[in-house]
Amino acid sequence: MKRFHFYNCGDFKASYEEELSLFQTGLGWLWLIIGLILILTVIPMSVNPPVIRILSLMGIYSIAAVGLNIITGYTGMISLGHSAIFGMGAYTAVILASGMNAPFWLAVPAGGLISAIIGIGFGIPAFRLSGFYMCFATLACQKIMEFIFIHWKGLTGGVDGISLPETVFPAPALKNDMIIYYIVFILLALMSWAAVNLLRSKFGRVFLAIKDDRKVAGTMGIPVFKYKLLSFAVGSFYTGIAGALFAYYNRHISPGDFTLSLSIVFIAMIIIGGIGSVRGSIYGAVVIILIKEASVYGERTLSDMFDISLTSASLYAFVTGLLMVLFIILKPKGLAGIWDDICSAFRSWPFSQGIDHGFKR
Amino acid sequence: MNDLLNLLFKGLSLGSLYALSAMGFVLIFRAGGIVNLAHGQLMAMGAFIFLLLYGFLDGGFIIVLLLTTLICLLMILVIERLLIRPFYPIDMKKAIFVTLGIMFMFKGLIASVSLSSVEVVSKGQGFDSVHLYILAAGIVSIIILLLFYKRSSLGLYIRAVSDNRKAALSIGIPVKRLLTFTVLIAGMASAISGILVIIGSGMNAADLGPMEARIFPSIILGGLGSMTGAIMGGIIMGIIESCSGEQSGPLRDLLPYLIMLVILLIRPKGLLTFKS
Repeated sequence: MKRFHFYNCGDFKASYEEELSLFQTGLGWLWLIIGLILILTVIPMSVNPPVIRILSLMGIYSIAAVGLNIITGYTGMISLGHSAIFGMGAYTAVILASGMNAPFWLAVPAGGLISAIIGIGFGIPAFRLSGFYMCFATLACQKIMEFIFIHWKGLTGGVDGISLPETVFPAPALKNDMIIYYIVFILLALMSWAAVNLLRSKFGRVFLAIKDDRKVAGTMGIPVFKYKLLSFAVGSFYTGIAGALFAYYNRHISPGDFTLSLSIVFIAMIIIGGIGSVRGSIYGAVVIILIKEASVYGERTLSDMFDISLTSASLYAFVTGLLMVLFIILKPKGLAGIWDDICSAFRSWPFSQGIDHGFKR
Repeated sequence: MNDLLNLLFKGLSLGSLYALSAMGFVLIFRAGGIVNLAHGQLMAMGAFIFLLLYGFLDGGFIIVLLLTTLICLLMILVIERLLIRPFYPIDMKKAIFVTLGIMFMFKGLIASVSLSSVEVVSKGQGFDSVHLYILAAGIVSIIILLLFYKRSSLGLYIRAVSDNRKAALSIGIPVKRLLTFTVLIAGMASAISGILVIIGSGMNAADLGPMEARIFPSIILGGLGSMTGAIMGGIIMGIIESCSGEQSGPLRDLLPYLIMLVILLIRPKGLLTFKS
């Protein structure tokens, strides 16, 4: 059993392994275990069903945001087509479950795999393009996928969308929302663990190298295009899993759920949370869902107080956009960066802070 | 035959507006190195304000047009001052994120008022004199913008800054103020083109939503950073859209983006730019 150890004042690292370690003190592990226990046992017992649904949505969006962070945060390619990939996972799951009676444990990974393949397709323009050109290429892909969602009526049900059949879950003892909640959070824990470790592996270092300077990375013998595609595949796999879970969560999907707006919302998540940080993706998703719920509340309040009828969707979009711009201007490292600043201020307390910790996750 | 001519004419008038907006994009790109992803939404914003005032004021056409222009001017000025100026030596990626955020704010504003009450003024099936006026307005605006860019000293400054920012700064060009001015002009071009597009489509509020990304295919077709490319790209895309829209319905939502993707794959610097 490892002994808990805490920091002395300041930042003393004696080896590279120490710098790379998952948590820098034993306290991190403690918090992780406490958090998992809270999420998996205490919270489901104590809160009411609507809150469970909101929390599940947070988990689903968190998984998708982690996926986007692998593409945008690690590898540095801005993807405006993320909601199409998310939708691809959702449609795959629903079509498999309703058309071929595939069980849950088959439909969700299939959604992830198909999304990964589509994601590789999205990444193909990266062969020649980088930077803002990738933005436009993924935007075009997003619009084309939206078109397919709407107009391939035989498979996707057109504008009205398709629903899951009623008898999908074999276990009637627990409510569906509860099952989804557990599955979402167990998957979120596993997948963010995998994403954090991806950053510590060879692949993560290659992604970071490509992000920092793809020409230098190429000169050092890294096959840049291959790794860009790999990044797209892994990120899209995450997003596809999230999309499939979203389909089971919502039980009905339509093309209106997967528009360009959702892509921007995903980007807003990783900006608010912190670009290139797995923790940050989760913070961002939580903040965005909170804004969404608050804007529903705000709509009611505003229409009660004044005689104006603002829709909640417009409040949500406006506040999200504003927060995104403000975070980029004031705190480009996002909420995860703010948390790191606070931590390092405590750590080096009597002295001024200003130690920039290289790795953050 | 007559139908085809009609479609071509309509496409030309739509294309001149796309060209105007694309020129604005190129101006911002050259003067500030900003890839303005909010450009399409800015068009929609101009159209939205116009529709709002038109339904609300019940006044004359010209007054509403002038008022809309004024409001757009103020709006762009405020946004430039508050959200773009703070980080002027601009990091390309940050600029993309900021303009995305601005785009989403616009989207929220546009969604806040439902515009179903605005009546359809003209639903042009055959030849329409509205399109003639629009084409005239579009061409005049394009020529003004082109003269500004090629002949005026400010246009010369913009070209100088886009060639070499530090050298431009060292010979005394006020780079920051120039950027403000450029954003203002380009934004106005975009907003006006949005207003004219919405008039041309018969004041249909449902057109505001898809306008968010409609301008980007023309920009990519012409090539980022080239003024003549922007004009040609806009006109070609307008004609393609008009022809595909009338004959095979849903293709109108697909074809521009398909072309955009193909061009990004085979010739990313644009079909119509020949100089490197």
